[in-house]
Amino acid sequence: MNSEALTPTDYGEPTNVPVIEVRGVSKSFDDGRIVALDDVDFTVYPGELVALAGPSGCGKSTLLHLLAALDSPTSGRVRVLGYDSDHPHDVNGFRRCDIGLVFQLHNLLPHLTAEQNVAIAMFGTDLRVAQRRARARDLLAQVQLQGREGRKPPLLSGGERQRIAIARALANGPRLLLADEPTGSLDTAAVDHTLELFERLRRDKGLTMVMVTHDPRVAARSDRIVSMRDGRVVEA
Amino acid sequence: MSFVHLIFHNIGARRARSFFTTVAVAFGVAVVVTLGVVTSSLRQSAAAVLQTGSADFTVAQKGMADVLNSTMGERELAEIRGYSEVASAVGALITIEKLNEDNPAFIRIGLPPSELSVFGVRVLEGHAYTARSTNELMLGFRAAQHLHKKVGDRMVVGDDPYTVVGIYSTGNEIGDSASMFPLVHLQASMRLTGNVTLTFVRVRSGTDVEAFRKRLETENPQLTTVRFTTEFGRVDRNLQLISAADRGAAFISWIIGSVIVMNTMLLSFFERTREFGLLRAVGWSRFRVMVLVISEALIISVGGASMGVGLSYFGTTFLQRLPQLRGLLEPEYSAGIFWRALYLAGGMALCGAIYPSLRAAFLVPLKALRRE
Ligand SMILES: Nc1ncnc2c1ncn2[C@@H]1O[C@H](COP(=O)(O)OP(=O)(O)O)[C@@H](O)[C@H]1O
Ligand SMILES: [Mg+2]
Repeated sequence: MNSEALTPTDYGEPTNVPVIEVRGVSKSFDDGRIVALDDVDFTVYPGELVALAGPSGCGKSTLLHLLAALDSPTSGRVRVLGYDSDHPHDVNGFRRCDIGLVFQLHNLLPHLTAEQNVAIAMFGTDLRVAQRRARARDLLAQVQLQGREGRKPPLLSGGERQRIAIARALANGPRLLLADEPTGSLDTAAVDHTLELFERLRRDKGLTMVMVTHDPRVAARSDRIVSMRDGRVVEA
Repeated sequence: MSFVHLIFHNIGARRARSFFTTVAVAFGVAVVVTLGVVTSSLRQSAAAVLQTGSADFTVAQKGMADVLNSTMGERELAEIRGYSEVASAVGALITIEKLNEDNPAFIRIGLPPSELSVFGVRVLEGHAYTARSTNELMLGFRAAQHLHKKVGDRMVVGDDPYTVVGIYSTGNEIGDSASMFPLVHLQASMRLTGNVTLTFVRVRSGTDVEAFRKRLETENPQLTTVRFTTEFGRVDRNLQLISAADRGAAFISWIIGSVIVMNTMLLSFFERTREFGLLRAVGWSRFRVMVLVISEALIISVGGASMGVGLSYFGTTFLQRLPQLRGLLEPEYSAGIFWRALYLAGGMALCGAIYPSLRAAFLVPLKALRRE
């Protein structure tokens, strides 16, 4: 087993290049009237599962969006894998292939089936139609949605939709999974199952994960918990 | 799911709206195609008058509203014959007569019998009229069929009684649907003694026809020459007007169609803001989003184009039945007409979809996702 390489715990002397490096990042809205992030430093190493915790409105989602290159910092620098907020290029390729993103609201397309919702993220890759289809089905099976491939989101439960969103985030085999309360609408059994899936992906694929969560069970499974308050990291 | 499948899926997801946009495009296309068919059909039949006979080109008076108003005198005919390049120049008087309700546009061609063979007329049955006769005519074989006349039959044209002495063929549809009279008699009965409508010129072999035409026109500024069907507008102002109206209608329907397509695509853009934001967030490029929106518009419009061609078929059939146009309109559906429909629909789609597609492509994903 090479779990040491995947779960660095000795932060003093990292053996790997960080997956995420956030340095002195601030983010404000409405011409500075709202400060969502205030001088945040944040580092994540390959294979880590980091839980991001804190009260509502403290800036967790904002930070996640910066990591997903969906927004850029007002000041400071964000580097995630090949993406650098100071020199952004091929943002589409980064969003499509390097990261997987599970939104707080699952953001599925209501008129597409579960399978199509997953496959939609694979447009622009080299996969053929049949391969995309097969992969989408495989991913849905991994989140225990076999038999639901042809259903449209409005006919599925909140938990099922959440799992489609997770399957979609994993569509192109990302190296980093960013998830905004991915277990928020799951029941206990589904939470356990999802956490097992994450564990397996971490073990088998070396997936790095940052997860916004209020769920103590999720936090308990993480390598470390980063707590935020009023746009600042208070405890890492 | 392939990209094409997704395009059709999105169109199908807003079935009613897509359908009505298709219908709107179809009507625009139908108007334009119908006008196009009519214009080209009128051009064909009118120009055929000019090409009756086996001439290299036709000479007419310049600047006439209707080609059949052209008049050329004996002096001009003699002048044309004087050119060394000219092998033969046959002057013909052409008039249009209303026979009855079913035949509102019966063409009469006045030609001396000596010129018939030069003009390319073959007598199929009976014989040619004589130069001085006042009650003999020949019918083109199509006219004879249509009027149920044969050699020896009598008929009245313009109050005068005639005997059908021969049935002829020119190898040209309009010529074969017309009638021929001794030139002198037709000139007299029309009170146009000495005048002809058109002169049909054949040049000596080895002559550069285009160069000679140009010379003839510069040296005789009151005359114009026509060699090809497409040049017909040079002598016929009416056709120029119809062609201009046709182009105008195409332009207007392009504008209206574009606005309708834009309206539809904008509506769809507002409804699908979240969708486009999400697609960008999962790594779709701006270009791909634009292609998606434009393709949806293109499919709708091209569907409208084919529906429009169908509608126009009924439109032309209706026009053909109008008494005013009976016999004049021989609709021909050339490939050009279909391309016209397709270009027009494509133009509507592109112009209508470009703005909505740009808005979709340049959405800020996060803002779009926050929209309810
Ligand atoms: N686009 C925006 N415009 C204005 N204010 C925003 C925007 N996004 C987030 N905020 C504000 O920034 C703060 C942090 O928000 P968020 O990151 O969503 O918090 P959390 O996810 O931790 O609940 C909140 O006060 C929120 O209202
Ligand atoms: Mg949040």
